[in-house]
Amino acid sequence: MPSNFIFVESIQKIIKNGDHEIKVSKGTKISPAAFDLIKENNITIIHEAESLSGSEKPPLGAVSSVKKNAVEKCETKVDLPEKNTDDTNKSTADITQEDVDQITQRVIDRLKELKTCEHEIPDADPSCPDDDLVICRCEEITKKEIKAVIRSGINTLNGIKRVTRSGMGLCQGQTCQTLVTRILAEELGIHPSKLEPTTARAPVRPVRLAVFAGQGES
Amino acid sequence: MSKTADIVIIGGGVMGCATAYYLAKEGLKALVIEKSDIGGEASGSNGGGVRQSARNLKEMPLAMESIRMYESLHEELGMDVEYVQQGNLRLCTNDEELDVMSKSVENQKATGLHLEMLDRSQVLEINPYVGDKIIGASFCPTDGHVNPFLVTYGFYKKAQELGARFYTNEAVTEIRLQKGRVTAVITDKQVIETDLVMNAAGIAGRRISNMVGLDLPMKPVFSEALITEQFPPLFPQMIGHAKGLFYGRQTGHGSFFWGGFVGTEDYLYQKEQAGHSGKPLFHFIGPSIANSIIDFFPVLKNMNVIRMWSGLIAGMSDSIPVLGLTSEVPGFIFCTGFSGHGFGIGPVVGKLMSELILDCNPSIPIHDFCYGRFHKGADHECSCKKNAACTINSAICPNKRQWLKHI
Ligand SMILES: Cc1cc2nc3c(=O)[nH]c(=O)nc-3n(C[C@H](O)[C@H](O)[C@H](O)COP(=O)(O)OP(=O)(O)OC[C@H]3O[C@@H](n4cnc5c(N)ncnc54)[C@H](O)[C@@H]3O)c2cc1C
Repeated sequence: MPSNFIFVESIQKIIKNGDHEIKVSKGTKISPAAFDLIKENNITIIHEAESLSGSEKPPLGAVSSVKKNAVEKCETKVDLPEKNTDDTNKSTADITQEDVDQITQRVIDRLKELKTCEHEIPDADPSCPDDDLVICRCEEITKKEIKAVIRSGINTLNGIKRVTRSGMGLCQGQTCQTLVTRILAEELGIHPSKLEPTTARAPVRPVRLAVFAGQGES
Repeated sequence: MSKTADIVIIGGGVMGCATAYYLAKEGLKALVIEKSDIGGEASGSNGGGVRQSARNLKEMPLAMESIRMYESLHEELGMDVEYVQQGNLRLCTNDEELDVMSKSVENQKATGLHLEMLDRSQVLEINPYVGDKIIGASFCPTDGHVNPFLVTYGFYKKAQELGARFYTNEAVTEIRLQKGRVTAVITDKQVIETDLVMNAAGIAGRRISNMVGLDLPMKPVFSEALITEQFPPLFPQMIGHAKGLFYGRQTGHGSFFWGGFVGTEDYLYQKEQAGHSGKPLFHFIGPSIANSIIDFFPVLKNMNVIRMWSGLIAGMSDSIPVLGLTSEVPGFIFCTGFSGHGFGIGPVVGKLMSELILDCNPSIPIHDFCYGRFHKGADHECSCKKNAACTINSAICPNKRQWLKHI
């Protein structure tokens, strides 16, 4: 199964291989940076229909037929008025260039929506359903807040911690550190291991002031 | 191929970000280079105290203007910065400390600042939680505190929105001069052509100055800080100690921030052993601060400490910053050496630096902070009539530049 996310890395791979197309399955999210790369390099987005993965997978090289098939499948979803939308075996000859353009435009519009949703971060947008997820439980910081800070250009874990307070609570990031790392890695399109962890701070567990001051348990 | 920039600001702390913001507001888009991340050093580790009390008198005009700016900073930046203006108590535990504070209060009143000395009963009226050892305090009602991370981030974000550029994770390694003038800044990633560079590198301000052949009497001072768990609001004032050894506040979040240099305990210093200078014992600083907190506010005794860190203060020999231009290296601008109390004047310094850069005409004179003081003495006369700190106008304000025109 293809991954549900597309980040810069995978686009860079496509560019490196000299390809000009990327297949996305339904529900795939493309990171804004990756989307920019797609646009910049004129890469075609092919909306891959579910049934195409698995046994029906066309042989390599049969891209154009994949494209047409995919378009056809797409069509059943987008409900073009003049077409018989239920007939999935319909001949591809029925599809005009105009339809292709129209559908491509829809896919792009949808992806744009996805992009604006991720940039402006409005409340409860259905295309970013996990944005309200609480990532740092001690300080109740949501994924939305963390993403907003990353997109403003803060690209280190220490930086995110300072601005959002995630990882500053009682557990000192023991719960959220891996989650925040993953979000940042996804946003930057790099592997989590490339990120420098937040600076470890004493004490490992909360210590009472009196104990810390050497005054013992009074 | 190298990039060009109208001005390169070295350092994305509060000074770099605020200057970039006020410049961008006027249409000049600066390029800020930061070696870690925004607020990665002092601006991201300080106590957030915004005070006029116990300041060097030369800094008073800046501090008083800064307070006015902080009052509406949330509107300027379009975000809450947790500014609390409920006064600053500098606590005294003995007659000597009372003496020090009384003198400082008298001096500051002369500058027009409203503040007073309180005896123990008056202190208790304002803050009922102080311990038995407190015999008095100075109180300046217009002082306060702020969340330093949010202020720095706010300036950064706003500056960026207005077109300033920020390169983080990139360090300046060299500044290129030609015929004595700044012509380029070289980083670990690229060369950027520019004829103006501002040194807002905090503790690295000395190293950056060295890059153009200048030196500063600056040395790092170690400062430790700790943060407790959250607690319902107890008191809103910024707390200080007469001798400045220890300070803190309850944050908008509810946790307590406490910081200090050595706490208030004598034993922290290694006693004058043979050949030893009496340096602080670093591993005792945290516990010593904790002791001071319990002495000053016994109610906090059972509170949990959850995090500690330390920071370096850019301490100047005369404890005031270096601001402005120098005729020795045209194109090089100082904005460093805030000696541990820079955050409080961050916004005003950003504004003044922008006025200096755009117009050679800061609205508050900054000649007291000029680089020339280290050579010519503090009372020397600045060559620039506009008090733009030892400027030779023609050499350094290249025809007021033509920035504003082509924007
Ligand atoms: C523990 C502590 C507590 C403090 N408490 C208070 C307080 O309560 N009230 C108050 O008013 N002040 C306080 N201060 C002082 C205050 O934090 C500083 O004066 C202020 O933040 C200075 O801001 P800055 O922008 O000049 O420096 P910084 O915030 O240090 O910024 C300088 C930046 O330059 C970057 N840099 C350095 N070298 C290079 C290079 N070669 N290339 C690129 N970038 C570089 C650094 O990474 C850094 O981010 C405190 C300081 C500390 C350490």
